[in-house]
Parts: sequence; C-alpha cells; structure tokens
Amino acid sequence: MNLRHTARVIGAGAVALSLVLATAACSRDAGGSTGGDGDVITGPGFDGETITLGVLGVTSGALAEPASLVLTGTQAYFDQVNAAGGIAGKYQVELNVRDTAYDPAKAIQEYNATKDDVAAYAQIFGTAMVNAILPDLNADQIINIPSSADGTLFKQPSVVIVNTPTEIIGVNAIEYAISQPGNEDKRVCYIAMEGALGVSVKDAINFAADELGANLGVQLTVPIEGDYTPQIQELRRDNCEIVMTKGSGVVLTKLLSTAVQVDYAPLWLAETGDFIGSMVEFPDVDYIENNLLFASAGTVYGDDSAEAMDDLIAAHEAYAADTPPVFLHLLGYASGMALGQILEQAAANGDLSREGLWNAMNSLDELTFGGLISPITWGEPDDRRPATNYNILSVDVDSDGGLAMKEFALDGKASRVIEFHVAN
Amino acid sequence: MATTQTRTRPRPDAGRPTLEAFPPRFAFPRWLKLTAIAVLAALFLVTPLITADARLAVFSLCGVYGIATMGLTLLNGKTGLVTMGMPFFMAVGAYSTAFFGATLGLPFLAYLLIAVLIGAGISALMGVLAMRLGGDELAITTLGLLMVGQYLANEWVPVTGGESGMSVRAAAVGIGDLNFLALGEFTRAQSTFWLVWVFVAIFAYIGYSMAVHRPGRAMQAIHDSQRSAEAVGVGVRSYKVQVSAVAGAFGAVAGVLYAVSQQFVSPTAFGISTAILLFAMMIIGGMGRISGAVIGAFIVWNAQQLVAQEAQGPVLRWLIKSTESSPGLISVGAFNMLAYGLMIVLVLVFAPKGLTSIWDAGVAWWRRRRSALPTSSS
Repeated sequence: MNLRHTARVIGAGAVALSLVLATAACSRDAGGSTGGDGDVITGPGFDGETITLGVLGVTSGALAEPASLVLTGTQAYFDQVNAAGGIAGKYQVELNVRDTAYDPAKAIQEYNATKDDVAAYAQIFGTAMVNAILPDLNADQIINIPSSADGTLFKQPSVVIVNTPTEIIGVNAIEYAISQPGNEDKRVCYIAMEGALGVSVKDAINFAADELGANLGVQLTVPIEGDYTPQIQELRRDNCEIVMTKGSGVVLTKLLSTAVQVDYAPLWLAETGDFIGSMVEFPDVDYIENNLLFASAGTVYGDDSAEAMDDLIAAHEAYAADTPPVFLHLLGYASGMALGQILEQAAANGDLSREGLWNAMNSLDELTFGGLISPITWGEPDDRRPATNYNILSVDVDSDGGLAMKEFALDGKASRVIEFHVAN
Repeated sequence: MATTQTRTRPRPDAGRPTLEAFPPRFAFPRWLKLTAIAVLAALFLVTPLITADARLAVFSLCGVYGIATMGLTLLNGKTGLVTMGMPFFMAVGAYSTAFFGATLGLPFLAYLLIAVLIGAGISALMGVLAMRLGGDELAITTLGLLMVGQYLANEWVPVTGGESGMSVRAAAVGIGDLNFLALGEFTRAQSTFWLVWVFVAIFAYIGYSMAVHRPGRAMQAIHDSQRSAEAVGVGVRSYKVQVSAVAGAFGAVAGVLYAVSQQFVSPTAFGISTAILLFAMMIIGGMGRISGAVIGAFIVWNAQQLVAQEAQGPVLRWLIKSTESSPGLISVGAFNMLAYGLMIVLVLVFAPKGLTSIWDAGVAWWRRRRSALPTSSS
C-alpha cells in the first residue's frame, strides 16, 4: 500500500466532508428564534419587520378551485393591510403557500417543512388535513384557521373557526326547510362527500331529526370524483323531498347536474361555503334558482348593511378582481380579519412570538367581522361559543356574488343545544 | 544495423497499486471501503446535529422510501418481476403500527415483527402468482393488489381509521425505557433520523449481501432468462417466492418507519402515486443497484421538497402561482408533476441505467485509463 496515496485520498475525503458540514453548519439554528428588536418580541415567522403566515392549501386537483377562492380572500385582506402600513402600522404580512393536494400525508410533510418559519397558519384547507396535524398544532401552540367548519374543531386550543360550524348550519337549514308551510312531513335525506366532515354533519342531522321531529330518510356518501347517478337514484327511490348536502362546490355541482339529467328536483340545502363561482355557469339556471337554498352565517357580497362590506369590495377590486366574489372569497377575507385581530392585539402587547400570539388570541372576548359573518364569542377554549343565527340565501346568477338574501338573521333554536364530538 | 533505442517513459504512478492488484469488477481496496464507511458513519452521526428539523424530516422520509425502493429493486431491478404493489406492503407495515402498536398497545419489536411477517407472507403469495405470470400480467395483478389495499384502508374503519386516517402517536417506539423517538435531549426529528437511517444501513447491507452473493446471481439469471436459469439449475420458482417475501418484508419495514416518523397514516399515502414515486426513485437511482435505490430516493424526494420550498422564491416565482389571481403560469402542484416527469425523462435519456451508471462510467474510464498506461520496462 502506498501510504502517501492513501493519505491523499483520506485527506481529500476529510476535506470534502468538512466542506459539506461547513456548508450545512448553522442551518440547525435557521427557522426562527425568539428575541426582540427593542419594540416587540420576535419569534418564528416574525423577524421584527415581516410577519410570515403559512398556508397549507390545495393548488392542484379537484378542490383547487374552492381552496383558491378562500385563499384569494385572505390574500386580499392582507394586501389591503399591507397597503395601509401593515399590522400595527408597521409590520408587513407575507403568506407562505404550500400545496397539500388534499392529502393528509402531504399535509404532515408540508407542516413539518414550514412550522418553524411561520407565526401562524392563515389557512389549512380540509378537515382531514387539520385532523392529521392537530396534535402537533396544539402542542406547538401554532394558531391556525382551517377552511373547515367542522364543529369538533371549534374548541381545539389552537384553532380559530371563523365560519359557523357546519353541524349548526346543517341543523339550521333543516329547521328552516321543514318550518316552511307544507314541508312539515316531507322526507329529509342527507348526502355528503366522503370524509370526516360529512360524518360530523351526519351526526348533527340525526340530532336535528330527533329535536325537530323530522321525517328522516337515507343518508349517503359520494366520492370527490365519480358518477353520482346511483346515489341520486337512491334518493329518488326513498322519496327524499328535502336533501341536505355537505361536500364542496365541486361535489354539489355534480349532484345537481346528475339530478337534472334524471329529472329529480327535491329542495336542495347546502352550506354557503359550497357555492363556487362556476355555479353561475350552470346549464339549467332555473333549476338551481328554484330548487337550491344555502344556509349561511354570512351575508352576500354587496350587502350595504355590513359595515366592512366597503373594505371587502375595495380589497376585492384592488387585489382579486379576477376572482368571483362568492362566499368562500368572503370567508377567506373574514379569516384574514380574525387573524388580523389576533396579530394587532399581539402587536399592542409588544409580543409577536408564539406565546405572545397565543396569549393575544385567548385574551380576545369576541372575534368580529364587520357584519360579513356573525361575531363569535371568544376567549379560552371552554369559553368559546359559535353563532347560531343564520341567513337563507338563494341563487341569483345576475348578482355580483351569485347569491341573494332570502331570509335574514333567523334564530336557530335546535342548533343552540347541539353538542360536538371532540376530535382526537 | 542501426537500432532504435526506445526510450521508456517512467510511469507517472510508479509505486502506486497497479490495475492488476484490484480484484475484478468494482472490488475496491479494503482501506477505501473503510474510508467510505467512516465518512458515511460521520454523516449519519453529525447530520442531525447541524441540520434543521424541517430538513431532517425530509431526510427521514428519504430513508423510508429508500428501504421500500430497495425492496422494489430486488424484485424488479434484480429479478425482473414487475410489481406495482410495493405501497401495499408499506400500508401493511403502517397499519400494523397503527393497529397493533397504537390501538392494541403492543411493543415496538412485536408490531414490527408482525408487520414483517404479514408483509413477507402476502408477498410470498404474490411470488407464487409470479410463477405463472410475468411482465405485464404480473404488473397488472399487483396493481389489483394495490387497489385491494386502498379499499381495505378506506373501508376497514376499526383497523385503519378509514379514509380520514389514524394517529399513530400512541404506538411505543422503543425497547424498555429507551424511546427511539426521544433520545436524550434530542428532538423528535433528530431521533427519527437516526432511527430511520440505522434501518436503512441494515437493510442496505442485507440487500447488498443478497445482490453480490449467490442469491444475486440467481436473481440476475432469472432476470435475464428464466429458461436459461432453470437450465443451469437455478430454482426459479423457489427464488421468485423467496425474493418476493424479502421484498415484502422491506416494504413492511418501510411502512412501519413511515408511520412512526409521520405519526399518522392515511390511505392516500399508499396508492398509485406512491407506486409511481418508488419506480421513479428506482429508475433514477439505477435499476438493479441497492445503492441506486437509496440515491434515487434521496434525490427524488429532496427535489420535490425543494420545488415546494422554492415555489415562491425569486427563481420560480415568475412561473409558479400560489392562487388563481397571483402572478405565475401554473400552480405548485402542477409544477411538481411537471418537474417530476421531466426529471425521469432526462435521466432516462442521458443516463438510461440511472445515476449510479455515471459512477460506473467514471470507474470504467479510470480503469481504461490505467490499463492504457505503458508499463515500466524491466
């Protein structure tokens, strides 16, 4: 063996290894540190000048459209805030958008990749995605705003549900439908997209049936993609005259299309979040205007009675003019408002670290939305209360947002006593 | 008569080991191997100490997919049994962890062993099928196995949690008081990295040993020509079953590690897209090479994460849009698919045998160069 040659090789290897280590050195400390800039305490996702908020959204696949509608609303809100100087007049907000492809496995990966670089999550799209990372979100004390309205998430410590839980909306919708003259004995059925949220609403539907004495029929599920003819035929065979749905706008559109093809026309009920922009292009406009109603905790785009409507319109026209101003866009804007209130409170407290945001969130007595959505009683998790009042909206393809107010500020009676099964 | 005096140039490498000193075909000197092992061991120990947790999580998944890809390499690359079913065996491992570990509370070694036995057993049955089927038929059959797995994962709710998935946090991952996911003061990401890559090393050694010894020669013979292999006395049927069982065990272990690293399992992680991912890792790394499996897994998975990470960075921001109204041409999800496909095409065009073939080409060039050098005259 030539010792000099051996030594050269080993030396070269050691140099190479050292270069690798040197290049990677100090990266263990990257991603967030707690410190101060003299004015405010910093932390992960806040460097003293810019607040970075994470988004675990969906930018590909069947659910990209509804996810994008919510995100553009949130983005428009923070663009508006930034234009006015930022949070507390000085801190700009940026969104770090990642794609989960509506896959819980990917949501976990994207969460792990971003959690050290964000102050909070402005959006996590999908109940299953939230459930997959919820224990970590709670343990890491990272505030998050799911696009889900699953009531089982409402009292989770880290979660801010902006919209009224879907269980409450579902019960309210059925209560309204069977309270209309002639509807008292009509058969009420349920069809939902497969998944955790559908199961949660199904439990609420069963509760409503007991409380309200509704004539309950079949309860079905559908996949995100596929042919819905068998399910529609089953609804027809069971003489379902009122059908409560829960899924996404994509699923709802397919259900309606299939029902039109087989000439089946019950009263369709849905939550306003399931209305997407493409519905105004529905081939049979009369069908959806006459047979589809939405129950909503929020108002319609352009409602002058909402004091924040001017801000919403201005933000939409300035930053999201290409986005149809449907409810999901309003919901995204309201989500931004909720997080904005938390950030403003934390900035006022002088602490934008994780702990500071957490304390600020729990110190707020109420989350308000300027009339866009019903206010929520807030505080510590056990003190939080969702709104139970609701509006009924009908489809109006000629309006800006595609919906028109049919009934306003109704009081949900049965939904006041609903209980949510706490998620794991 | 005038004579021509030949001036012999002294060899520039006089004193160095000559080509003839190396045993045939890639058998490097012992000291070089030991150096390489030392470097890898150093990387293994030091990487978690200097790398952020987010990056460590990516590296851990690289290791998980590396083990699954090694199993695929033994089955497909070495033996020629085309299978799409490796994610099914990962699911076996993952859901064994969820059910036996998290739900029933069995200790780590117990549910690991159960996962390996189930994975190997089912895979051995697939090996029996492989006796009759080959090529396209086997691939389609294993695709059917994948679909069966998806159905069970979605519908067998008491065991799998259904389509919403299942948390695995309650599963013990250790022996006695030693928790492999919480080693001393180290973070979960650091501990997980070490756990996963210990398994990668163990299974790489197993796979490599199989490949370079008698089983590997038999597998290669079956890959090249089953009839010829039979003719020379290779037990083709027996090897198909055995290799299938081993590959199933690899997949099951990968699934166990996937579950404990992610702390959550859901059906979407074990579908057709994962089958394609593993194939891409095997092809890009180098079919038929255990090292190729690990290299391919490392490169492909890191590349995907890099794209997601840099989607809003200055280089890709003009191309990738985060919302419908933001600037850019395509979404990050669409770009990932595009980049993924391009990577496979480019590797197949410029290095059809994978990235390890570049190393092989380098070694072959060096050997030719060495053999072309004139020898010193006596």
